[in-house]
Amino acid sequence: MADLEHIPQTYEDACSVLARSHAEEVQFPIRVYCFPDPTRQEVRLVEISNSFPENVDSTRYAARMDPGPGEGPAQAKLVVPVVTLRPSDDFPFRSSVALVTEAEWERILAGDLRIGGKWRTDDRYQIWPQ
Amino acid sequence: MTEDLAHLEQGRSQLEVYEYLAGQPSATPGTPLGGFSQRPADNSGSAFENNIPEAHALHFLQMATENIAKAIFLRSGNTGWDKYTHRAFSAIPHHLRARHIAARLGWRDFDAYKRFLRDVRSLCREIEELHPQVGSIVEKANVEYPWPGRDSLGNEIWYVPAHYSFRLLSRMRKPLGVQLIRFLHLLANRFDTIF
Repeated sequence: MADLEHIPQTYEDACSVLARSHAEEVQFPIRVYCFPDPTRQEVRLVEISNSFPENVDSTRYAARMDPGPGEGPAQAKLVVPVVTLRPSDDFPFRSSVALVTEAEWERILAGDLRIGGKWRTDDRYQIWPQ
Repeated sequence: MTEDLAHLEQGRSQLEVYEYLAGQPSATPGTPLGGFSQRPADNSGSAFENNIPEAHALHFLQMATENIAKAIFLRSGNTGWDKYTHRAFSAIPHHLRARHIAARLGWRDFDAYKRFLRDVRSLCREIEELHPQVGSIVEKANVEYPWPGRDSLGNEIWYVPAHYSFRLLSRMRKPLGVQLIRFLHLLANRFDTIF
């Protein structure tokens, strides 16, 4: 099982190492997409599995959604949150990860859900499995 | 004080109240209990000994975990995220499974840390579902409001959380539950170094 056995030196290496490390930690099927940060400072991943808890209870809280920047109430979308971790000595990049179910991923692709990190979605690519 | 830190402080305080009600020793010995009198060394005065309903101790545990999780999500930005949701805590073990997080939380044995996170996921979900609005069943056992049911004759009855046995507090006293409380304290105490 892969660990963060070496300190990633480049942004691309950091993305690969973190995705692989996370994917090989779990004992269920998982896909991981990378959303590259244009500034190359933050590793941004979306991990997809039905073994993750749902993020959004749209039936209860749709009316309370705060619109995102530039959005009016009619355009407010439900948001899947990310968790952002600071860099450390053995992983010298910020990392932000969203965990979604398959249904939530489909809603993200359809534009019905958005990721809380305000990432650009058009540059995404599947990083795991390779 | 920022919003994320406000949630963290509220969560810390709720965790202390949970420990007081549950009669568990604090994970940080010597930490004042925020105004509550110190618990006797024999742990007398716990929820069981003083007939404090299990629901009340668990209510504070549910609130503490929700606030600590919200502190994490708010620190992470998440513009437009529904901060009023009660679904937050069960995702946290999944988010913290990297080796460098284990090290920051003081776990030297990464395999043990991984085992802990795997083992604790269902417990975290169970705590989250103590809230009346979490889960697929609309009216269900929860720590806050009465819920309807049927007796053996089919008559409608009302369950009172304060009278209900959740069978969870006793499990929180076992090693996995104690480890979870310690984990929460570590998250709160090392918050600024991790998030």
